[in-house]
Amino acid sequence: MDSLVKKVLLVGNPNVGKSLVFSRITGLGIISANYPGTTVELKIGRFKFRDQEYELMDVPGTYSLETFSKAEETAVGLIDESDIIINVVDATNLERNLNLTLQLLKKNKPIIVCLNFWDETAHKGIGIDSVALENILTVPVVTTCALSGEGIKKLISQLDSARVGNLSFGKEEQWCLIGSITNRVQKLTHRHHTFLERLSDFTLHPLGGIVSAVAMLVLTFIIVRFIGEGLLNYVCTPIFSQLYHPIILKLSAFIPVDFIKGVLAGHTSDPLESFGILTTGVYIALVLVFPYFFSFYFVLGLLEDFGYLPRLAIVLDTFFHRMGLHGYSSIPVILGFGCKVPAFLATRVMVNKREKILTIALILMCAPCLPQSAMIFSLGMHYGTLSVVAIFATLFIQAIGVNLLLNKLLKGETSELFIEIPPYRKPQAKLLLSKLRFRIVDYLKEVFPMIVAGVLVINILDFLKIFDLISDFLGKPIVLLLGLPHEIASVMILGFLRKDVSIALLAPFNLTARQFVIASIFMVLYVPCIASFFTLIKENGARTTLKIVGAVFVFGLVITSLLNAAFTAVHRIALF
Amino acid sequence: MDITQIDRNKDARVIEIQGGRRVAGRLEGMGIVPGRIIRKKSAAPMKGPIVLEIGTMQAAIGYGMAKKVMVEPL
Repeated sequence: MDSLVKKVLLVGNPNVGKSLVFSRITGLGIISANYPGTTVELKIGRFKFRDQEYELMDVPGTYSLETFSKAEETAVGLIDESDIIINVVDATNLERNLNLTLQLLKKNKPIIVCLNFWDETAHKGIGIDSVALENILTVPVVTTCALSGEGIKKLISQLDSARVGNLSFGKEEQWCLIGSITNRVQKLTHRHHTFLERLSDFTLHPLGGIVSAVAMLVLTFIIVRFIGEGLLNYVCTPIFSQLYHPIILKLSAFIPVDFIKGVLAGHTSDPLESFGILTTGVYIALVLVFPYFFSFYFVLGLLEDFGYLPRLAIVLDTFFHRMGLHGYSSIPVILGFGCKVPAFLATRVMVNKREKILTIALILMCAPCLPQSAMIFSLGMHYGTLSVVAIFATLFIQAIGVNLLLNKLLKGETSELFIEIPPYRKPQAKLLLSKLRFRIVDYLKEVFPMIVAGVLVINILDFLKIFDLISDFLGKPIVLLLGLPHEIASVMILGFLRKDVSIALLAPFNLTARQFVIASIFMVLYVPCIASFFTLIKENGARTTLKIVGAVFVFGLVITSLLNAAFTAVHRIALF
Repeated sequence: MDITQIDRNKDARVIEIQGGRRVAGRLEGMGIVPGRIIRKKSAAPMKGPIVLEIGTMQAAIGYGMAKKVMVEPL
């Protein structure tokens, strides 16, 4: 019986399913997706087997141990400190994966090879003799299918038989050795192109790629809208207005203290204007925002599991190149449309600092996070589709314009795209649902309380008359430059805490369409939310962050002021 | 010739990787090494990325990087 905790490391190429293996072994809920940069943090979990405690660490995927990026450097450092290595190998790509395997063998650590995606080898006509492989590599080889969980128990039980490999070879011989091993253990039988493979070729075809990208984006928009609106109108709103709200109003009639009653249930029966934490707070979080949150992550999960995102990056690459970025950046930017925190984390894999800054600026300027977008949609639709389109179009145009400008100003080279294309896989309902559940629980634990807290804060500030103080101070510039009522100043301060709440809190002010458009654009641009702000500082340091955020703020102010001036000018001309 | 000059859906054998250790190392991670047979699947327009098939796996590399992969057509 060993009382020391053994450190086990999961090492392997990107896209081999390490995250799934990790979550299967530790039982921890984990998000797995197959685009680069998904595993950016070191995931650590503990598990126990036969009285032995293990600490399992999931290392970011790497193709080799020669240090070309942060991912590889991190991996090498961790390997030296570990006790056992589990080399997760994609059985459908044996040859390429063996490169890392051989490098790992040279590290003289106890190692066990995990042949994952074993079920797919049959479909692809690949036959691998795992016993023969085990004999050649002189280390245990276990076949697994992380999706179904098969083989995981066997993997854990064999951990103690992990041993240092006995294979010796020189550096030059390495690829020859890989070739000969593959020839000896792998047999490829010819089979017809599957439909998915044909689809893959189409989405990578120069023209087909663009067609499918446009189709995919339109389809995404439609589905997200459909599910979002459906949930909103047929589930959340009825439950709220016919069940929950009446109960709250009835109960609040029993509260003797007027102030507490106001804080809890608000002063009017309109949930958006009452500002009660149980009315407005709950309404915003669960009726206005949640439906879109749910539908966006549902569709994103589908695209992730299907494997479309890397192909999108390739199609968008040329376009991004004009802006000094490449298709690789498209994924952090797309993530930014969900939430900026994972988007900024995804920029970690960017080696080129210049590109990283340009991507961050782009994310800050054109991608309102999902709850904010949902808010802009929900509220904006009351003013008409044109308003909503105007907001997003302006954001899009100015984001590109500013990026082109930054591209000229910042000196440096753009690095090349370099990305593996995983095969299309049929999304599995179980995996999709568990990902969705994980994200929803996250939302309920993190976002919901913050919105409620935000409403509470507004109540307190209002009571202490601090609002009036702030409004007086900031109000003048805002009225002047942006044409907005000066009470909005305090809402904007709240926007730093939570962007989605701030847009929602515009509702009671009864803005005109033009004011709403300008306010929304400004509130997307002016500051990042507190969570993403601190993520940026953690990743890039305070100085760089402040420079980028400051620049974006200035741009935002200038653009919205100009927009306001333009509206005024058009208005004057129209009056003639 | 380099891989960008090969026709679509044609195989080619890698002869040499031009450029420094960095480029060669990254390509090696994908299995693009001298002696290997790779297939060019497609090329995006306007000097966009080139999609390659190496064994059972597909990858995309930028045009500039692709120009450094010297091959002989098969």
